[in-house]
Amino acid sequence: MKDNRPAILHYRFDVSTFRLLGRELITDRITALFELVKNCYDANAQTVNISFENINPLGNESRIVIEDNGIGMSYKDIKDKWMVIGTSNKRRNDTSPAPYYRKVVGKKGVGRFAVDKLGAKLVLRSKQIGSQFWECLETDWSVYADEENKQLAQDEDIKLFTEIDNRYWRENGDAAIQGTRLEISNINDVWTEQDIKRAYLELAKLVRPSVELKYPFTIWLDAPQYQDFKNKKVVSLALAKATLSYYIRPIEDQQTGTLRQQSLRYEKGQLSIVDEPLYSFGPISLSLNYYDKAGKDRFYKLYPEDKIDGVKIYRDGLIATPFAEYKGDSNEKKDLFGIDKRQWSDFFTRLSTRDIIGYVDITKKFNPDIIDSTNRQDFVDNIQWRDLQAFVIDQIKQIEQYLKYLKLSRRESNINKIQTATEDLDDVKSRVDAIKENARLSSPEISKELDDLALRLNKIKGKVVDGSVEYKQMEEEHRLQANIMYSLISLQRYASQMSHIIKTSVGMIKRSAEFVAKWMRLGQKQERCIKHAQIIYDDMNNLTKAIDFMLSYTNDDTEFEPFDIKSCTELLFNELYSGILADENIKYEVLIEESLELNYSRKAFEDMIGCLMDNSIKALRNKEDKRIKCTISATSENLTILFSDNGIGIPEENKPKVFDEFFTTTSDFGGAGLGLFMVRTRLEAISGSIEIVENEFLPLGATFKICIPIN
Amino acid sequence: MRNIDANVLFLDDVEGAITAIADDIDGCVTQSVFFDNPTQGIEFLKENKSDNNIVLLDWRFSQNNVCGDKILVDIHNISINIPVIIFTGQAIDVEATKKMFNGHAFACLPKTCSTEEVTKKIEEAYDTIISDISTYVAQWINIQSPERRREPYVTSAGESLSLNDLLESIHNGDEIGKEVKDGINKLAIELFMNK
Repeated sequence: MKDNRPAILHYRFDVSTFRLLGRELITDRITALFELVKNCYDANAQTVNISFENINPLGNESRIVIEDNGIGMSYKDIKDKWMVIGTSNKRRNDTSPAPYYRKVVGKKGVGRFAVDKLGAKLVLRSKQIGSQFWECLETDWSVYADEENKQLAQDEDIKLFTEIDNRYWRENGDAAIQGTRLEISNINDVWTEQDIKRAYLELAKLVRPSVELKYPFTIWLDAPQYQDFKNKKVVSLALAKATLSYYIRPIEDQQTGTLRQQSLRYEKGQLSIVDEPLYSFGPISLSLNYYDKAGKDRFYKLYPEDKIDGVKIYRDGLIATPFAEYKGDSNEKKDLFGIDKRQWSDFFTRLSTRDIIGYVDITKKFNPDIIDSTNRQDFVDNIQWRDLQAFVIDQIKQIEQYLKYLKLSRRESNINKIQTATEDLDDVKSRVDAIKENARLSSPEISKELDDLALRLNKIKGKVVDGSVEYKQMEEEHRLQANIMYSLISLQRYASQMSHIIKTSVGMIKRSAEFVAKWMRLGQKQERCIKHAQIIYDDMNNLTKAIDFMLSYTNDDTEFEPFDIKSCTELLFNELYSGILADENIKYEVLIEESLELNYSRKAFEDMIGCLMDNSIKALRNKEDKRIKCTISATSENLTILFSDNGIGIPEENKPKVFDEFFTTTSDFGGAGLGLFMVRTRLEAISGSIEIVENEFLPLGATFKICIPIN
Repeated sequence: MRNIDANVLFLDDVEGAITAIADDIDGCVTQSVFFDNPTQGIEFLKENKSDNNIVLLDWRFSQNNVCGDKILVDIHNISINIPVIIFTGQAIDVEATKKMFNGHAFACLPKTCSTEEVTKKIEEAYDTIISDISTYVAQWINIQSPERRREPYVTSAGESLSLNDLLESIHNGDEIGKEVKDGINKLAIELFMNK
């Protein structure tokens, strides 16, 4: 029997395609509006009008109309582009037609189905310049839905997505006019004033604010039912009211012609823009705008309905993410860069997303590895994206340090001003005394007036001096309150970490003991029983160490005492550790400025140096020429300790982990991964810090830098 | 612990926390593997998707402040049939509990628990795997020849699906995967009813 089946088969589209590409792909009404407005941008429109007519309550007259003055579509465009799913023309040409050359943003060729999310019926009218006709097309999604329902009811006569009729006709028009008008009716949902406000705020972020586009793209929103949204221009946030504004960008190296990345660097009271090699994510521009309280007041007076809400990313001028995101509760807004999740930043100078408006400008061409995730609300998690996150956080930290400096300088300046005012008053008084001496002879009335003036000057001086004393007292009280806050925060974190350490250790001991008890009795796994007995012993020691640390921590506040750094450190090197240093044949060098006195717990200081010493001894165990160097210096603000050895060094991948609890590479030598964790915890409790810096010894080794605030 | 045909993965940044458990179950499981880097653990699961896998997952990784919720999602995206037992030294608050349940965690155990409690949960997790018909369908597909797995096998809504497509659907737990599972369950019930 002859096989009549064809040798080639074609894909066909089920009628439900309209739903899959429309309401099910586009999750949100605002995203649907975004998709349609993006098409206007790609069509070189300069103006888009969005009208919401009779949208609350809904009725036969309810309409959403999106109208632009872009290049419009010919019959052929409608037939071969609009009516073809996944049209590839925007992928072929990634810029819009001359002279605009905008980077096109809609590439999937399905944005038009977003209409279905807004309403069931669409009448499209489009016209190109020079044409005498509007090309008109009516699509009624309800016909598609009816067909789908019929098919679900197992109707035999199946129509495909591509077989539903859409009415096409022409209307007379003015040859000088161009543009496209989408009239959406049978609206799906009521648009309340709150919904319109939400649409307005999100559309305002579509185009990168405060950038002058050569060919502007202006959106007008008209919802005549609502007083505040009658033919209202959608305006991007202006940033003129920010307290501090910084803008960094890529620049070309004059000598090599290569691109370098500008970045913010804080150093000694200056926040400067420096340039450095490009990062893995490629060249970017970054605008960071900080608002203090007065700045926020100014901002909210100008834009009462908007929010200072962190850093956003724009690609080629149009928002990349967060994409049409709206959350009523600002706590639920996306914090792309983790600005609010930072744990270790200085509590009082830490900036949050409510203090900053920022824009990261990336381009398709130069930042190809920053890739949108499918849901358009995040980026693909790769090294480049992580580096970009780290870079933005670092830039915010630089501003934080600068703000901290400004705060301290203002405080000092205020104290100086009071001091100067007192001196000025003394000067005025002595001049008055001199005049009084001369006037005594010539005019007793003037002399009496001057006596009175001198008396009042004395009283004013007294008040200024009282004020000065009071100011200093307030400063001191504020400092104490800040310290208490620090202690509370650090205590909370500390309690959480200690409970984690103890729980983990107890669990380890318990399970090892359980192992020994079970397998010893069975007479099996004997070698492992011995191993677990050793684990129990080691973990008990670690637990004891953690508990001792906890106890010493509780005493820190009461045991603060001034002590001499030099003699304390030399005692450690020359006496307490001298035996082991000699046994291990380690040469050491201690460089300390004379007469450095620190008001801190001597025991805590000894523990810190001891911990670094223990780590260095372990790191040096397989070296021949063994060296340790400890340099201590001080400024008026900080005591800085640089502790170095020429041991095996710390692999790059371990650097972020070395201060974490239980992280150790020396468990074979009794390392429990608690020492550096304890040092960090102690330092954080007094607003100090510890970090790994560039090795002093080359080619291998490690250098730790400890900063302890003097006051 | 009874013998089970499954890999047990330990994803934790402190190896000591699981040493006793790993030593205890050694010989009773296909293999136990430790990863202090969750990304490597995820890669292992991707490569060994056709095996039975059970994961014991630390809830907080110190490095980069990685939290277990993200890893839970990654595991669920590989296959819905991998039970994940959360192992945590943190205080579990409402927020964390929500994240665990939303991430389809199989169970949650504190870090202070005994090996016996852990092995009991591992056995329960294994029972869940082997009582799920989709496990057997996946196993059956995996033993078919590569050619057979690529050929069209069934038609659904006018679309031809190969065995590989079905396997993917079973792992993803999508509509087709559920349909396959439900269909086989119904068939089994009917066969039992008709004797």
